[in-house]
Amino acid sequence: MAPLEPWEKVLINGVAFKQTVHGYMECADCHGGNQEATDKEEAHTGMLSRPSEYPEIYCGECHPNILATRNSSLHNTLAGYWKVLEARSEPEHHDALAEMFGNHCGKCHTTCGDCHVSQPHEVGGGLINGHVFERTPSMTRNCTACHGSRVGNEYLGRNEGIRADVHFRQGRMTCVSCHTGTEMHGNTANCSDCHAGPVGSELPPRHHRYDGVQMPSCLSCHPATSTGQDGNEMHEQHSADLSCQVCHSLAYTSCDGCHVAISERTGNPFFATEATYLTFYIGKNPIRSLQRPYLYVPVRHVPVAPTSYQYYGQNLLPNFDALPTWAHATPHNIQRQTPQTESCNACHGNADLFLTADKVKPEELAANRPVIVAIIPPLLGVTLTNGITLTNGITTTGTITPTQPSP
Amino acid sequence: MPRNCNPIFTIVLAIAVLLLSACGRSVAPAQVVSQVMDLAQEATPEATLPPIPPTIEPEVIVAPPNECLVCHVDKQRLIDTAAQVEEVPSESSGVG
Repeated sequence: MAPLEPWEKVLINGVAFKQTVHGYMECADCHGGNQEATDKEEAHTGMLSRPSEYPEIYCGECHPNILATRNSSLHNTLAGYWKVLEARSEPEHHDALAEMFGNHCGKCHTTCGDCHVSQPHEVGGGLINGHVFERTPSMTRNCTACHGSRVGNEYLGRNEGIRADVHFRQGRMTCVSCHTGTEMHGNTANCSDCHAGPVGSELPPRHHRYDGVQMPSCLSCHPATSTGQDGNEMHEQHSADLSCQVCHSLAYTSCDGCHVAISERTGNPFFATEATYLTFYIGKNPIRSLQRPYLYVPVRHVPVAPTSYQYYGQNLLPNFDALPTWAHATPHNIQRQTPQTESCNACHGNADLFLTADKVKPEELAANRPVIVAIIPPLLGVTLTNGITLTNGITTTGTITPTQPSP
Repeated sequence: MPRNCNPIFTIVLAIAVLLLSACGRSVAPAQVVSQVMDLAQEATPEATLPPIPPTIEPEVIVAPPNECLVCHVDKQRLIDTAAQVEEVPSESSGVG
């Protein structure tokens, strides 16, 4: 996406905008400044270019319901990042990490306007449609403007040799077809408010992209896959213990070793990622819950390292092993047919597909113990030398006939 | 009929005159009406109404000029007044 010229960022479509609800308001009602001044400097004195940074003042008066859930929106709070930073650190490191966060991670903080009237500030900002507020954000100018390097490239088929997600390629669906405003604006419900007691350990973690009710859920449009009523033996066997992406996604992006710092030359913050590569590994689900009971899920390597924030202090992540570096992933390159769906033994007995210990960096073995697959699901329909024939090696004792002859 | 006449009183008076006209010498209907009108006017005190105030012309409120829009819908003006942006090469490397 080409960056906007300075004039493009602030060009208003006077005809279209004045016909909208927001167009009935005076510019100064939200932006301040001097509306009657003809001189630019005088007009911009006291002006607020991004009033939605203060939604409780400017947006909430007309949109109180959305404002009420703002503090539950990960786009607003970035609480997921704090969640993992706190897990890997001690309280004494939080001040330094907060400074780091403000200079680097916090730039992804999204305001109302970053989705509904302009491009995100992080990618340069600028009005999208002449200041007309859009109820539905643009997939390319809003969503993938930030979620580009992984989700955007996967979904739009920009990874070399990897087709676009079938929901886009054939379904012509955009992000909001699945990721609704309800999800984006935050969900105030806390599972533990109602589900207390022993089930508490089975609840998804809060302030996590995979917390709460699975939203979106593949089953919303494909309910038959979970009940085994679609005639697919693999769905009947694995719909509960494998996430959909295990079988239906292709290789996706993993990253290594992101380090952040402030440039001594310019004073600007910057980052450096050691490596980015395509992977497809099936790992054990580290966050099993009532909503996500899967045994196996795709896992993606996240670019955190023990020295990621060393610019801000030494040993800021003393509990680095508290969380895996191979994280639960939901790749956005879904296909009906993949190498995994060719046959049962496309996965069974295929160590290349699973996150085994030999694929994990030695210094990260301890952190990834919850996701490393120690025992590969065995081949099916194979008679061992001791005369024992393996049938189903995972859950039942029934016999599964491969759809194709075993390789 | 004058507006300040009590209509009920007038009607009653007219009926009375008609009844009396049967007893006296005949009078032409126009003369009866005229007499009734005169009697009604004399009987009904003239009501006093407040003076009608002069018509007030509504004040034309002129909306203050919105110089914001005047400028921000003018592409050429935005180009001419745009602040010069210094391109600072990003020092970041790798995928973000």
